[in-house]
Amino acid sequence: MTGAAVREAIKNGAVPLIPLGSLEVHGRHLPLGTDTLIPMKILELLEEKMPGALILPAIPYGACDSQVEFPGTVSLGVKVLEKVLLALTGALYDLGARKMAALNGHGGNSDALDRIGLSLARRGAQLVQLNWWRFVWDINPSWTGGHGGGQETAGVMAVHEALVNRAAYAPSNPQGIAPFMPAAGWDEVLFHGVKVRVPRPDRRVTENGWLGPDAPEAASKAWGDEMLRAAADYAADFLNTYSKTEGPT
Amino acid sequence: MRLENINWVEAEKYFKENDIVLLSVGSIECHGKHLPLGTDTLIPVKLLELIEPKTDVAIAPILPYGACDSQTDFPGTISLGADVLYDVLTRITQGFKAHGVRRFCVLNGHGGNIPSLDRVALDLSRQGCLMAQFNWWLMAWDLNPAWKGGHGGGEETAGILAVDPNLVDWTLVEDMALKDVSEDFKAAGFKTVKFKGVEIPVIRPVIDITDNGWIGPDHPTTATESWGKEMLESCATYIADFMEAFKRVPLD
Repeated sequence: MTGAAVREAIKNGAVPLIPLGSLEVHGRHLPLGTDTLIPMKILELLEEKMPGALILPAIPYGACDSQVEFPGTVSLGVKVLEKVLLALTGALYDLGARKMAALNGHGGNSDALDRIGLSLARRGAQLVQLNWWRFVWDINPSWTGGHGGGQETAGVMAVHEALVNRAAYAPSNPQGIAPFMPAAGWDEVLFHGVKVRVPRPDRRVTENGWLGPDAPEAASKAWGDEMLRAAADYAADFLNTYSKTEGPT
Repeated sequence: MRLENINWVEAEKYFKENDIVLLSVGSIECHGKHLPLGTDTLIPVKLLELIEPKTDVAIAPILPYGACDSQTDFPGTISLGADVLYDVLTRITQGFKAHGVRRFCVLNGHGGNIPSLDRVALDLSRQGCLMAQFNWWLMAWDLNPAWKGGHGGGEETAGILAVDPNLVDWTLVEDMALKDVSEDFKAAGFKTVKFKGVEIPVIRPVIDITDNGWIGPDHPTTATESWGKEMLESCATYIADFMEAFKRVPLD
């Protein structure tokens, strides 16, 4: 698109959609680009539904400082990601956008998105966070999953089955900090029935690199196809309705 | 033992024999019209009072400011922001590390401080240390699910009643009235709206979400002083027990 066409599309109500991913470990069985590949596939499906969608080029790097001990993982960190998003959303703001959306593939990006959302709100604009893996839980609770588990494995299967290395499936085997303080997720340990936050590099929590209630073995291409289709349909529905609401003041 | 009350000779002895310290961080921010701005500091201060006789871990002075950028439209709310808070906590923890501390415990009163604490914890973890965060209001939910609450709701009001019943202004308690983004996008909490049954984050300044400043499932009028006292006593006992066990956790 030309700059003039973007300005015109925004003027006509299009909500710019910023795809945001990450390059990071997702277990031995999934590609480093999992958090970018899945949003890209959702966009492909969304565009079929919503030909007029105003989609920006994806940012394939995110904030994943806790994972950089894994080979190939690269993190911008929260502060730098915030600056990147500030420049990008600032440019859209200057083109007249007051409603914007991010299609996000990675939980670690949420802090930076929250900060940008707040600063845009103080300038009379709004940023919607479409965190695909999270909002599909509300659509179908059986899709609830963790990092590199069945949910994301199914998502990558819907992108391209050959990207999943089934031979590498292995338990995530999370490690606590002592026998009496086992792991309760990435950042917490369990002691006397209470979860206490003790953040550590992810590689100390699991050597394999995936963690969640949903074993990768549970994934299927059918699950992935249905889930990404539902995510695309919901995102299109949201954006269509949102584009018609009165903007923030 | 409070660090502010001992001299450096006693401190030298303590850090020779111990590699653990208890830090605290709060916030000064809106908690509804009925609760004081210092709610997230006052409750940890009370907890420290209850923890002190149960532990020999040194207690450092509490930092009474935190990260609450979304609330600064309310009079009296002051935010360091997440990056400055990270810098402040880094300096403080590195200072203690230089004195020999490897096990950091942080009593925290405010959810907005967690991202900064996580970043500091990750840095420390890469330096052969560990940091445990006692987010008291979250731990309280695990200790007793009936204590579960939001921001300035029954849980925190009960906590303040345990500090001093005079700090709660019952005449100013209002019902929660959240402001929607639009008919289709109803406010669902501090950060989210609901569209067709699905929650989606749309960050707004808190004053755009609620006029009075409290949000939660727990109405302030459900709070009692006995709830607050039992809850803070349980948290204090738990924290003292945890720190005793934390001393035995192997470090790299």
